[in-house]
Amino acid sequence: MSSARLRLAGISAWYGSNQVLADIELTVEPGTVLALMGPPNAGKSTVLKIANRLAELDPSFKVDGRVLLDGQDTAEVDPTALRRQVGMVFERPTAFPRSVADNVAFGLVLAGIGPGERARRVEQALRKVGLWDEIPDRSVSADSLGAGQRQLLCIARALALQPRALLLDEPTRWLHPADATRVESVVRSLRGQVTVLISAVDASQAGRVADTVALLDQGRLVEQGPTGDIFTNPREPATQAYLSRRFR
Amino acid sequence: MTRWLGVLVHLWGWASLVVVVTVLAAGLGVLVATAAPGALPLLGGSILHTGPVVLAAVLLAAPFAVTTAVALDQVLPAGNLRDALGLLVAALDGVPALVVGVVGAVLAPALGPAVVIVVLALAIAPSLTVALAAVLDRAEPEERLAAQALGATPLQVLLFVVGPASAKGFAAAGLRALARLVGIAAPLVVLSPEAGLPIAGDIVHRAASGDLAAAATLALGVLALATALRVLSTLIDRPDSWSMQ
Repeated sequence: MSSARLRLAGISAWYGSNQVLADIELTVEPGTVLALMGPPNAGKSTVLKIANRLAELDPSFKVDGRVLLDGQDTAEVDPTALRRQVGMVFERPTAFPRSVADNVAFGLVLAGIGPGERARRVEQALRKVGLWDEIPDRSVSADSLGAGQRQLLCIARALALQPRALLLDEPTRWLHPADATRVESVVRSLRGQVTVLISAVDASQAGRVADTVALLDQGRLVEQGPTGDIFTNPREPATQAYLSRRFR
Repeated sequence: MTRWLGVLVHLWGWASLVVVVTVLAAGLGVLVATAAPGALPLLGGSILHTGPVVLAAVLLAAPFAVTTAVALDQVLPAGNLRDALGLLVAALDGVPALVVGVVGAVLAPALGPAVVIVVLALAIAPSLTVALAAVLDRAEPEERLAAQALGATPLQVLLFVVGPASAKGFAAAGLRALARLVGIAAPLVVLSPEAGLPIAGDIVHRAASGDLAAAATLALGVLALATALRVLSTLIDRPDSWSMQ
């Protein structure tokens, strides 16, 4: 699995006539975790969906600017091929009504990967998220899993495709704290293996999982930098205000 | 005032139910009393004759219904074209069966015995399309999005997510279509008897010729068959709001 440098260059976006992002400049270095922070409707999910061109499935969506994956403009890549390189996990732990193994193999089947390689990658992905030993019978339905296990399964499903970048859209929003801790631990373990862009549920989560953080507010990028620097010495008043509200 | 209105609606509901059940029971009683056991072989023969015709009609209508439903629900982007196609299907679904029968009578000289199958397919295709489009809409949007995020093409979303989620509904829609076809009489009455009439048309002709015992026996057969198909379709694809636990 090789991690890529993900760069959003001058991204502005609209749903119909409503502008949701304005001139976003964002870079995630290979193998690092960048957490997007910000209040609700700041545009965090839209940034993620632009990175794998999922946003353009909405006919009213328009985007200006470029997304570069290791310098290659993603607009020049077939969107389905791009989504296999830039995986995504959503806030709701949505497993398909299939077995645990079939869930993880889902993307591999779509990509036409053969049974032998599939089985190897399913095991590898489930081990990465800590579910291989926890669920010895991988033929059980994913519907029988708890929400935390389902979300880990979704992460394994994305990892099985060996993506170069992984997008996580508030992956712990609907989880109990113990499950959220497990997901965060998996995110930290991915450092050095895959580039991760996560929309954090709050600033404290961003602090726990990310190498760098970026604050979005009303569709604008307020500030971006190493997590320690931003948390201890924010330059922008809006960042200071956001962090002080979050940690008060 | 609201309370009394509620009581009134409640009483009216029960009274309506009693009336409907009584009328149905009386109708059924008349049929049973009129039917003659001697006509049972006729019923068996008529059902045996009807089955292949109805099945052929559903098989003929299904490809058109499935592709139109997929186009409506999955392929066409929201807009005027999709709206126009949806309205056209809804309008065709409202065409009285007798009108379809007249079209069949016009086509009969050219199509020969196959006209019955074509007419039944024409009669059922729009309602089958509407039913299938509703079934296709059942796949969870989150599951579709998750598949798309894994690089699924629109066709793969259809085959791997929408299809499995709709399988039961597809089977149930097919059985309901069969049930409806078994009961359709009007389009067949206007066709020539040489074209080969399934059971419903047979009933009309028997009744018109005064053989009420045979007509009643056949009608009971249609009732039993249509009811069985509907019950089966409901058991396969039970509405969420019904709990039988």
